[in-house]
Amino acid sequence: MIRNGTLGAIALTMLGVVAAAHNGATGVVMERMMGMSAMRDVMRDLAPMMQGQVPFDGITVQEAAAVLQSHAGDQMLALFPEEPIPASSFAKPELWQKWDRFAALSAELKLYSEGLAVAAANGLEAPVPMAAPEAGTDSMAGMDHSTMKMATEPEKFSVAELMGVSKRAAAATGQSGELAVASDLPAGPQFAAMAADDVFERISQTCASCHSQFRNGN
Amino acid sequence: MITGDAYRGAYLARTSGCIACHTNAAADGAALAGGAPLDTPFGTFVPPNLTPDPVGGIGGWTLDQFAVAVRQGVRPDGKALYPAFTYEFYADFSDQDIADLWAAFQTVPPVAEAAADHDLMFPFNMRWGLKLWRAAFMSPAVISPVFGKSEAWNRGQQLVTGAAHCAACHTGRNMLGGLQADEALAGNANLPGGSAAPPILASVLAAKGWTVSNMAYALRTGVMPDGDVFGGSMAEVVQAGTSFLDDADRAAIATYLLALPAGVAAPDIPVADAGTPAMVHTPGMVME
Ligand code: HEC
Ligand code: HEC
Ligand code: HEC
Repeated sequence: MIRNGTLGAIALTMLGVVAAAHNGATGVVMERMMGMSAMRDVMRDLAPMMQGQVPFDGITVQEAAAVLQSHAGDQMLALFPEEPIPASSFAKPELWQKWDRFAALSAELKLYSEGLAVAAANGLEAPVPMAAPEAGTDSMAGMDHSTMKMATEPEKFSVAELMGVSKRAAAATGQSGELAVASDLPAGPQFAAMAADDVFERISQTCASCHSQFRNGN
Repeated sequence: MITGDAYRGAYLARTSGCIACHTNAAADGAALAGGAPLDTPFGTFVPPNLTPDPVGGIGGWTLDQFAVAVRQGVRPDGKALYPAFTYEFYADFSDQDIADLWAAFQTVPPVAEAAADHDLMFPFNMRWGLKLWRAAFMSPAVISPVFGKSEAWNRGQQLVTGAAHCAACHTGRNMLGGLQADEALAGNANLPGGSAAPPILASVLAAKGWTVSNMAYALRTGVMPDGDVFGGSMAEVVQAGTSFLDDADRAAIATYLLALPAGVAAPDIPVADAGTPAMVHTPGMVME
């Protein structure tokens, strides 16, 4: 143990960020940490684009979505074999006790990543909904860039949503993990009607939801 | 008599964590019908049922009794409330704020079943001991606008040091559990469940790549500048709290935090919270 610790310390000093990032993990733990880190890098690169700070590029988003897909769902689950958790790992043992929930979150991530690839074509604007009779000529005429962007911004929440009486409709964020098992799954066609940044936010909610339950802080 | 505005109250309740703590969302519990148990070194606190039910909830309370509980942490029977309820951060709520909250609470369907009792270890289960704790350690938030600072900064100060109670987790405590005045927002390594909240001082945040805009974004989505997402209790703060705020309020929080000079304490930040390591060694708790 001591020897490992010392080696670990040397490795940390020498390899700096790389070793530190994975806490000296080996084997399957190392593998899943690398997968997670690959997803982190994707999120880091996409976030400025999703906020409109750098120009939107649908191809980049599709490639990023493919990276997420390759680390989600069953691929992710395969890297969490039930075993005593080594010191290098930040996983919580609860993930095996609540495996259904863990698996649902992993499946949800896969679903949303697929959805991101679809919604990438839309950029930051949801396509004008088919049924929008209220959008009369005067509101169309007044549409400039800022009102267009507003359409994808989360709506103000209702009193019932704020008080927790009804679930958030607009962002559908709070209920991560239940979506994947619910019957009203947003299937392909709905993603085609969503702005890319909305799908991106669902992805981040899924990461956060799983981490808050099954990952220890460092 | 002030008329409350349910929308403003609902927004304030969301901002202040009333909904997050008093609703057991993980167990699909009804809104405000009682929260998930908070594990602390002193035992388990169960945030009570706050629905307008006269038996299970607070339907039998008056507005004045509600005001005293929220701003001063005292129950209608005169007993003190445990600081696991973050009332110290709400001390500066105006009469209008309280009336708004009250109006919003009336919109929630009543639930007749009371929440479970706390399960606290002796001597922490002695509610009267709290009077002594209060005398020694209570630090109610007093927030005064600072002239010469922007509107966003002042709004941010109000949210960070008051309603949104960021310091509840991000400020450490000394051996006696008191506020480390010069370490406000300098992080806390001893949150319940063994987790840690990092410092959120401007110098530290800036070094990690935080800006007003990416922090406002993180408070909405959980995505940090390096692409990782918030974990632990911060994920819940975002999910059940800051993601509901207006963009302007998230930007205000970020503006205030990123403008705090290093080593200078934010004024009047109270420290008690669910973690309340504060209570471990307090005179009120160790005296018979
Ligand atoms: C189904 C659950 C789950 C989902 C979804 C999930 N993660 Fe993780 N993540 C974990 C667990 C568990 C760990 C801890 C693994 C360990 O230390 O053994 C982790 C660790 C990490 C780490 C730290 C890796 C390291 O080197 O220590 C990063 C970064 C990360 N995740 C990013 C993400 C991002 C970004 C997403 C979303 C795109 C995401 N994760 C989605 C469960 C999940
Ligand atoms: C960090 C978690 C937390 C937050 C945030 C929180 N509470 Fe509480 N609250 C509690 C706990 C725990 C108790 C029980 C304290 C006790 O028994 O002494 C409590 C008790 C109360 C009581 C007394 C109820 C009774 O039956 O005695 C009221 C009223 C109350 N909270 C209102 C609020 C309001 C209003 C807000 C938002 C402005 C709020 N709480 C935010 C945890 C919380
Ligand atoms: C219930 C406890 C709690 C509360 C309340 C809380 N935080 Fe946090 N915060 C944490 C924890 C725990 C972390 C570490 C998250 C992680 O490990 O991913 C954190 C991390 C952060 C970070 C990241 C800092 C870094 O080092 O990059 C920021 C910024 C932050 N919080 C801001 C806030 C703000 C603003 C508020 C008030 C609106 C707030 N927090 C309220 C517990 C809390």
